[in-house]
Amino acid sequence: MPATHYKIADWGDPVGEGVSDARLISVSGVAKTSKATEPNIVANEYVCARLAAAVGLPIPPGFLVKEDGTSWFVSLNFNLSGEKLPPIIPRLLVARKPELCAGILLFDAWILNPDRHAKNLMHYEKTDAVQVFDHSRALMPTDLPQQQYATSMVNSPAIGAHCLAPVIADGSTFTHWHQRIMAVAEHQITDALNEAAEVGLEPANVNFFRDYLLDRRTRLPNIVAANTSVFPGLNLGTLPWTV
Amino acid sequence: MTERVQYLIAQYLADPLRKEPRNVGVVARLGDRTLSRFLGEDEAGSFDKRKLKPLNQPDVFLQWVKYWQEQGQGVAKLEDLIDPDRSNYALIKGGEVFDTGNDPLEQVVDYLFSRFVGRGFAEAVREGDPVLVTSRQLAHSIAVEMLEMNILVSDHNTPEGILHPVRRRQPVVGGNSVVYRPEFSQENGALYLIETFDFTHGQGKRLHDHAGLTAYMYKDLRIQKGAGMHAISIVKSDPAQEDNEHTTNSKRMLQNEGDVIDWNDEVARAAFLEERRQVAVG
Repeated sequence: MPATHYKIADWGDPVGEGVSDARLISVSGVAKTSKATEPNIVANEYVCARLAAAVGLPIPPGFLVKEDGTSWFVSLNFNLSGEKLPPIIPRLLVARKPELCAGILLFDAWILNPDRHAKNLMHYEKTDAVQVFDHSRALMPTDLPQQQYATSMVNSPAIGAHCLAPVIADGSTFTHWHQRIMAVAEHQITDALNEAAEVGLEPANVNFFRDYLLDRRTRLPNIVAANTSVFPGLNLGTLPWTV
Repeated sequence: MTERVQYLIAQYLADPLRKEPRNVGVVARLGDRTLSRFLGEDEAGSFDKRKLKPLNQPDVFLQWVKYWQEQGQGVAKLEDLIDPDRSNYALIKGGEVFDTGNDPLEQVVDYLFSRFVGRGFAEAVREGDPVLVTSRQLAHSIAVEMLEMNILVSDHNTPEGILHPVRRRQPVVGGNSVVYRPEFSQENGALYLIETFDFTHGQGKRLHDHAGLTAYMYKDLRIQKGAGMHAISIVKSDPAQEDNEHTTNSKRMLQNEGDVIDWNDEVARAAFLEERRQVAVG
């Protein structure tokens, strides 16, 4: 994965200490907060950004800021061009980066992301960089009872109308990505959820989703193999798993 | 039958906060076929990046072009390409072209591109433009002159003080209730029918067919209307080239049925327009 650079907002003075000529700078970001109808936006973004980074997907670094007492989740602005790029063309992205697309699909199945449309991925052809973003509706979508929803999706890919699902053809690298998901340390999952409790995640959901994510990742091979109709273009001969 | 062409205009906002859009392309649909043309794009679909200098990020523009071209082939309706989430690039609703005659979509797109992205109408109908100047575009250029003379009905509005304006594509009924729509017509007791023929860019066979049908129309309407019907054919040829057989025959067919005005002949052109003015004012 290529190293990603982020957008500078302001280039400041030297810190004046140490030997590395450190500078004070401001960088540009995109902030979002929760709302009454979607009370878990900040928590979802925070947890999923931590998990995606742990898996090794190209997601912009995210962090929390507080404005007038309200917590906001901030993604660093990766759009160095300064101009908004078009939505991805799924067919072309899969052709260009089949392995990464398989990883995005499996990750979204892990975190119950029903909202991976073509505007939630970015591919800048000039640099060939891809960025994965917007997990506001993953994990605990909208205002449904969260545990009830997650339980109902226990055997489902739960990826909605995923833009990559119809066009993915090669499933051979699912194993690689599954290994990465399994390699995420339990404490990373627990820490992310515990910290999200400070920005709206109900305390009762911390333990539930820790256990849910730990269990769900072990069953991802079965979930995918039992739901191949969700991937109509998938060459089943490349799928490493069977039911 | 003439079909209408729907079109969208692609716009670029260098600074979305300033809201100062620049047109950078057109996307048009005829039936289920979608075609586009964008800034810097040649007829083969290649881009000359030197022509993209007005854009801050030409690479981003080219990615949008690829996206719109891809999406354009898959949407049920052209309007489905319009994304309400506007950013630096957006497609906006353009309109519809009703009077395309039988011009292929490629020519209509070239015309729309010149009209909206190039330097406007003057470029769209300019002589010697590398874009094909069709009979339809010749008609447009004549229409512009008549509009400037204030003698052409525009948007169903008759110019003030004009008794006998020129009309475009006004239905005229011939024998056996056949309905003709000549390019221009003018009526002051006598009926003037005006058709246009541009031979400067080939298509001789097509124009030959058009001339034959037009000659038939003149003859039919002369039978219906009698001596008060005047047929006028405006013809544009390339003075640097000898007429080929199609062009020669076309002109002869038209001369058999009425007057032929050489649009390259400034005297004849001026006389034609002056006659229109005199008829118009009564």
